[in-house]
Amino acid sequence: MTVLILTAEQDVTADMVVAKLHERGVPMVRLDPADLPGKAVLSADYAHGDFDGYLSVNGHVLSMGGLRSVWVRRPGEPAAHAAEPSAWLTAETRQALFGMLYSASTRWMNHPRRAEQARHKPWQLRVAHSSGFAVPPTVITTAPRVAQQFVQEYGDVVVKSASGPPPGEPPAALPTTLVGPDTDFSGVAAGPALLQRYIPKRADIRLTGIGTRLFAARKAAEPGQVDGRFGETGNGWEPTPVPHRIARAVHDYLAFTGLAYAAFDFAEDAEGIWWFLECNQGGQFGFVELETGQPIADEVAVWLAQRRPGLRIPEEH
Amino acid sequence: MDRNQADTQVNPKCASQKRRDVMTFTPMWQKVMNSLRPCHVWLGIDHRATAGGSFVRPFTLNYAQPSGQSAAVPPYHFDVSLQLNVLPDGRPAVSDRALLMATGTTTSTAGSQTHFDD
Ligand SMILES: Nc1ncnc2c1ncn2[C@@H]1O[C@H](COP(=O)(O)OP(=O)(O)O)[C@@H](O)[C@H]1O
Ligand SMILES: [Mg+2]
Repeated sequence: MTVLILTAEQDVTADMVVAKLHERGVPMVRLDPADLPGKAVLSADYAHGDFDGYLSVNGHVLSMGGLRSVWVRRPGEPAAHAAEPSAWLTAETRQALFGMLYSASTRWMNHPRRAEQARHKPWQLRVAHSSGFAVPPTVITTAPRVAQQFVQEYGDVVVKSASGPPPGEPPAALPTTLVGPDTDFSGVAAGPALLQRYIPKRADIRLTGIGTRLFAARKAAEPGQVDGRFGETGNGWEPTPVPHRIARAVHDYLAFTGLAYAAFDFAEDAEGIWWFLECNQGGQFGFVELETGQPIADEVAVWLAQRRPGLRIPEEH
Repeated sequence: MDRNQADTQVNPKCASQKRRDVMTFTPMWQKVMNSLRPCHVWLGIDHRATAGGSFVRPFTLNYAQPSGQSAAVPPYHFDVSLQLNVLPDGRPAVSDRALLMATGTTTSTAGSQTHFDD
């Protein structure tokens, strides 16, 4: 039984898991969907009421009957490396690859359908709320007046993007930033603004969940600091215990969303409350493992290598 | 914690009606908006911001900045047999902690930059 990892070749975070799978003697195939067609070859046949499929890349072969699990890490777009890439070729190749993988009986970290929905930040806040997390008051709006009223009501308010920074060269960053009461909100009519009450925080928390295993890391914040990723403070990530009610809420969140892997961001306030900020279904973990020594890559490898579905996460087909 | 839970919901009374804003471009627009007057007011519909067809920069983009990260060529290459990246001396790249720390792909900011769901 073989593990399939969908990711780009340059992804050294995936290497951390590949190394653990090698240590454990678990067969695996690593594929960047961008290399299909070309470097990678695929065939799936649906005949006589039966199905089987094969995938080969760099001399490694995988049959759908022997597929143990799929890890969707940082895959390229299907056919992106083709001699003549096009949106149509990408769509055709996506059909071939994912149509075949969905036909197999396997476990997903994370299933693309679950992942797609889980990326929506406004929905995350709703699920977080019903899972029992504290969620800062938030608005997403294309109405300038609503944005202005929100800032008047809550005072210290941050703006952040829902989907990440805009793509392009040179690469852009979009740090979470405080907006003042005198801000010109007219641009809100030209693009949705996600505004949230600022949490005066003692620390940023990153919690990584793999199946039922949770690893939390804490990075102390400087007074008034906004985006924990920007500005050198000299503080690093340290392991921290997961409070019981947070663990319960995380398990509820993962069960409801059907995610096998997720990386949560929280802001810890002066009373020690962990405020839910977001849940990244494909969040990075390499930086946490390197700084805290928490064995996250090994836990991912263990999950992928399992032969039976996890207890809490339903098997995906 | 519970003290904030009510705050997270945005005007639930309007929730089912808000969707109908997508009807803005139908001939029914005026009628629909009038029937939703309380919501209409709450939503602060204000077409002056985009009137005249002049370009207005999406609000959130005002807070974008250059990430300052260079696209340096990493000192490792993909080994097709091992299916992971190796250093020039053949050791796996993951065995070099200092290198990993310096490599953008494992850090949170680099993830945000290249992947929308870091
Ligand atoms: N409401 C908030 N109060 C305080 N800090 C915040 C708040 N929202 C975000 N941050 C800071 O900004 C960082 C990025 O915000 P986050 O919600 O995780 O979005 P993303 O990582 O997608 O940009 C957080 O990790 C945290 O340090
Ligand atoms: Mg985040």
